[in-house]
Amino acid sequence: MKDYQEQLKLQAYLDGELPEAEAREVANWLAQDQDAVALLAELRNTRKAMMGFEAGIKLPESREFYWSKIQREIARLDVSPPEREPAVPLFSRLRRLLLPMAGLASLIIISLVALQSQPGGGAGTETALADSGAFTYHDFASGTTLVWLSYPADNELAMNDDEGSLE
Amino acid sequence: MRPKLSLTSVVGSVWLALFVLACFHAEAQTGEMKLRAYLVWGTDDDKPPEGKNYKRVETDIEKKLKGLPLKYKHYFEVNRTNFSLVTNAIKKVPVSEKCELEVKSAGGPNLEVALFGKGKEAARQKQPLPKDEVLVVSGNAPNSTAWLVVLKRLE
Repeated sequence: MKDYQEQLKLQAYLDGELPEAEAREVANWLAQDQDAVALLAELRNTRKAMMGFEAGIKLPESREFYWSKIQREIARLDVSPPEREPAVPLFSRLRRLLLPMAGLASLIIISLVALQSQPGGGAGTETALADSGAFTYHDFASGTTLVWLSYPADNELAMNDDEGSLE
Repeated sequence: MRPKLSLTSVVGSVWLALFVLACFHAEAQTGEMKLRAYLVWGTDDDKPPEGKNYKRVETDIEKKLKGLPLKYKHYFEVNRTNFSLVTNAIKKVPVSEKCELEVKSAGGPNLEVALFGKGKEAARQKQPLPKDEVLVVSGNAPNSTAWLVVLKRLE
């Protein structure tokens, strides 16, 4: 069996497509190789048989236009369809939402608890005094707030009138 | 075999814990607050005035008072009043013939305390008062002594 290139060369020789130098080489080769002669004879017979059965189909448009249509169709089919995102189950979507929400809620609760457990609490302290000489003192260590009023001195507030005693 | 901890169970547990915390927090915000108001006499004398049977203030109160920038060596309890407050409730607590406290629970540990002397407002203090902390409103009394209204949160 001749290799593929040799078969093609014989086919080209039969079709008269070889340049003169190559045609001469093939002729020399045929003079020495009986297998090549046999193959050439088979190819010739095949061509004769095929020539009578040409369908003679004619294209309704030009050859270039016809092939360009085929090319466009191939190009269209080659474009892979855009990949669709796989459907995310409802639970997974919920989980994506719940995780950050749980983290945020934890932070808020921890902040609230921390504020509540602070010594002196988280809320601000407001003092309104009728006495301009009064002062406020807070001892964080013992958790004690002192509001000292400089007025009214003596028997004005908590004191009773009787001899300066309390009651 | 040790069961696997799934993400679902972890998230569920976190939510459950948050719910429980929120319930406790809400309960703490609306719970009843128990308070005690003392009228205290501060003096350098180691005995109460003659004819008065004042006792020395409780140890923890005395310790707190001695930690304040006051000069008195001894503190005697004249009277005390226990009372309780629910959130947003206002209570008037007489501490002497001339003086009364108006105490309002402002949610959580927050209190608004006003001191009235002879019907006039002398001071108003708004602050948190966690358990065992005290608020002292005080002033001068005759003979280099002092009166002190001590408000302590019991619960």
